[in-house]
Amino acid sequence: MLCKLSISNIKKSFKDYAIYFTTLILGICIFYIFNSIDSQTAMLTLTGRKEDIIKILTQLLSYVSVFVSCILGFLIIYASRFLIKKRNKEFGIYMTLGMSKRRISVILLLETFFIGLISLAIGLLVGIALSQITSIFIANMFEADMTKYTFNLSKSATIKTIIYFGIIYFIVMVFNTIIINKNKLINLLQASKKQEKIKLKNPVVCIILFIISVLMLGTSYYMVTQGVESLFKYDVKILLVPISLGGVGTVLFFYSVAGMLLKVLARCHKIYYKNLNAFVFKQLSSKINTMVISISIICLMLFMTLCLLSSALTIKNHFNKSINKYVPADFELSAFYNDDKEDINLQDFVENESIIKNNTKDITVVHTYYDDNFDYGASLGDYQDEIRKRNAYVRFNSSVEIMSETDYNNLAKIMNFETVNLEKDEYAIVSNYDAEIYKEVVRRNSIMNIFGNNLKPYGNVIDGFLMISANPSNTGFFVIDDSVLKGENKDRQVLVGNYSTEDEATIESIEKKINDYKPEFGIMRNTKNDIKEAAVGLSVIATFIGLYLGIIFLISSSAILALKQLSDCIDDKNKYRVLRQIGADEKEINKAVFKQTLMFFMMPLSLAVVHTIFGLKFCASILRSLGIAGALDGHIATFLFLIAIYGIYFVVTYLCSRNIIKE
Amino acid sequence: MKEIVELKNVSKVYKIGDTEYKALDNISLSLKEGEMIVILGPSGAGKSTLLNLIGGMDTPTNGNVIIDGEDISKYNENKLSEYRAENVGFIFQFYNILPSLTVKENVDLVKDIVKNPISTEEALKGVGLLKHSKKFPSQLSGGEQQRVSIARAIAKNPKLLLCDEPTGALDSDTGVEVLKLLRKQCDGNNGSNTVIIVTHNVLIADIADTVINVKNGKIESVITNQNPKKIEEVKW
Repeated sequence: MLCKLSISNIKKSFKDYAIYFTTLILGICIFYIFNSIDSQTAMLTLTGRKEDIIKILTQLLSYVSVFVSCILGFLIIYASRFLIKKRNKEFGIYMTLGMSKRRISVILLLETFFIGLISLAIGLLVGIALSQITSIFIANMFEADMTKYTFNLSKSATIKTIIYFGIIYFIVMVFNTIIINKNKLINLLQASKKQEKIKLKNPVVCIILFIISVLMLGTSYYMVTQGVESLFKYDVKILLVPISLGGVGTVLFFYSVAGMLLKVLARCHKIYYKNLNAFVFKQLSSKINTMVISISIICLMLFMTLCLLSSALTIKNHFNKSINKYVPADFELSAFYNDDKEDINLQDFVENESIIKNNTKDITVVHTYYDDNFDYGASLGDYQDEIRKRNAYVRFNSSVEIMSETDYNNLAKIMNFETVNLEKDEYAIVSNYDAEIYKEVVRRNSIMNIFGNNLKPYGNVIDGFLMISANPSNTGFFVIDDSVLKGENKDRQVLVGNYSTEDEATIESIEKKINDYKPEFGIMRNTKNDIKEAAVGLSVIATFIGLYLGIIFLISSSAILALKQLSDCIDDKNKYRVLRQIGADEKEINKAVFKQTLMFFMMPLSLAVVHTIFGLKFCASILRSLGIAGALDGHIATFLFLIAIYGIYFVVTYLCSRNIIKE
Repeated sequence: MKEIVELKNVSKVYKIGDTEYKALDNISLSLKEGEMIVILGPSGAGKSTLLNLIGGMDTPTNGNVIIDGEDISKYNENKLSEYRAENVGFIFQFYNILPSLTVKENVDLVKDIVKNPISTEEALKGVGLLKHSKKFPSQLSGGEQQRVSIARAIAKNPKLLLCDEPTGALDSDTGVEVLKLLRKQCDGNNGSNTVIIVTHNVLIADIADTVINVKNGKIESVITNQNPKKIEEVKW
């Protein structure tokens, strides 16, 4: 009988809270998919760097999984506590009949066990099925060969999922037992008689708290946008200040809004008394009042989803675009001249290795020089004072690289830069990182004294660089006419080239030669393939972690909102019956449910969007400091993604609510 | 007839915030086995509190509740639920049956809890619901649902049947049917079953063997009805 009771209870809750159980299954399925990445890629023939990336990704995902299981654990424990509260009367009946608390605990234990078993079984099955599709997606990202594709099933991920969720369900069981043992029969039976307590909050206190919360949020917004430069100067720990201000501010915001909402709306007679609005607002206000903390957490999770996914997609888009632009050549070697050691000659190295000599083309060698009297500070002209005030940490006495016009034009040819034609008294600046500074220098028509000659600017700052890399990173070098250049102070030599072959094996052995070339002192080497793989790695890692956390945050938040709305509908059936009896027609009632659900879902989302507007600015500054410049272009896709998932939950919740109150 | 319920100086005090509310104020009372007893009084008089104490759903603040010679006021939670299981059947104004279970399953519930239940079929036959046994509560009328809860209570074969406003939600004719069932239970078991009905409906008092008037947490009067009315004669 106990078993039968549990099963009939489960059946009933499956029907009423299908959306919650779907989320549970989805959560398990996603957990499995992201933890089975390593086995999904096992059949891909990945080598070297790509293999390393998978290793790093797998490790990172396993850390993130701990966090994800905490989020899902929170969702499941919250939901089961919530569902138990709704069943007080049922437990009261059992106890009145003389059932002991121990047996009631057993019923709940069985229920949790069955729910756990069913959700794990379905979740894992769906996860295993979907992971076949994600494999294709991963192979695509790695440009891997899918011809050897076989069905894959990750034993370790399956076991891990079962253990993690087993622990969560075990905690739920413990929680349930505690709750049941705390309950008093007399309170259980009277639970339904008790009027829903409407906590009346002091309006003056609410207004004061509201102002405080706005100030807190404003301060933290300011800190991460306008004040971001001073923020970066301090220890990372300083970030805790805007984070905690934002968190506490969010809670206070919803607390005070929940207290004021009804009062403020009731003043707007035209809106408040239109149709069933008074009823809708009342319902909404009681919902928010009873779940201030949950709404705040949901708001913050939505905010994190938006920022995480936007940044991840921006990183991905960035690398897709930047590789072509910033890595125009196939390989590059560079060596600094060193006064103490014998000079090395990169050209000789390339000439002496026959495999390199025979399979490459466009070999270009350029040199840079320095002038002891021309440091970074001097290269800024009279703009220097302003920059000094702004960036105290820049080293103003570091040397600036200078190149001859001929070398530069050779470089420009292979790198696809704009070529120059300088007069004797002209200099050009080539920069693509913080180029605004030199643009201002040129705009001011600054005269530079290089190697004892006064030179004036040529045209504008040229978009270019010396070293190939995934990101723009050239703060600037100068180009001057060959005749003005004094060649005593050699800075470094750079050799750039392309392959003349497309044979992968040959290219591989060339790159092995390049990477094995170790003269007495260090040289730097870059190949397009290495940069590409590193970039793919970063973008793969960012995309996966962003997606993983984003989806989990989104479905957890939406599920909590849906659960609250649906269970309220079950409780409020009577209210809707009364509405019908006093003459509200079905259309009006549906409209009221729609408005209520919409406003309830919009509440945390609206503040999250405001948070995100400022949060994304902060993400952009972090990415810029990592060399990923440019606008965040991932936010549109992210927003669509959020609207899709959140929207589906909203629509399903609305339709289910309508169904529940129908009879 | 022996005494089945005896209350000695029983008080029950509820605390709501800082204020204390005396629901029962030093009550003493004894009830005879095999009687149909009506506890009468306005709302808030303490009737339900009295019933809850007798039924072992709550414990008194002071005094002793002695049922069939056993003092249950000192019982712990486990012993109380054992007591409820073996001795007491409850019937409520709003039926308190489980909507997710069928009529039969609702009655079957007690099988697991009680040592010597009477069979579900017999209990359902007794209340005239055997043909509805596979239906769900939502498919039944109010009177029928109340009969399910009576079937569930009598299936336990309890010494004490405690009813809190059993006809409160029903119309007169249906209410009379329910009262007849309660009387039948009282007369069963060689007349050793006791039925206690809490109500504010004065008319029901006419059918009782004993009528207890409760007001402001105290007992105003205990009246023995020499000639209880036949149930068919009652109408409200």
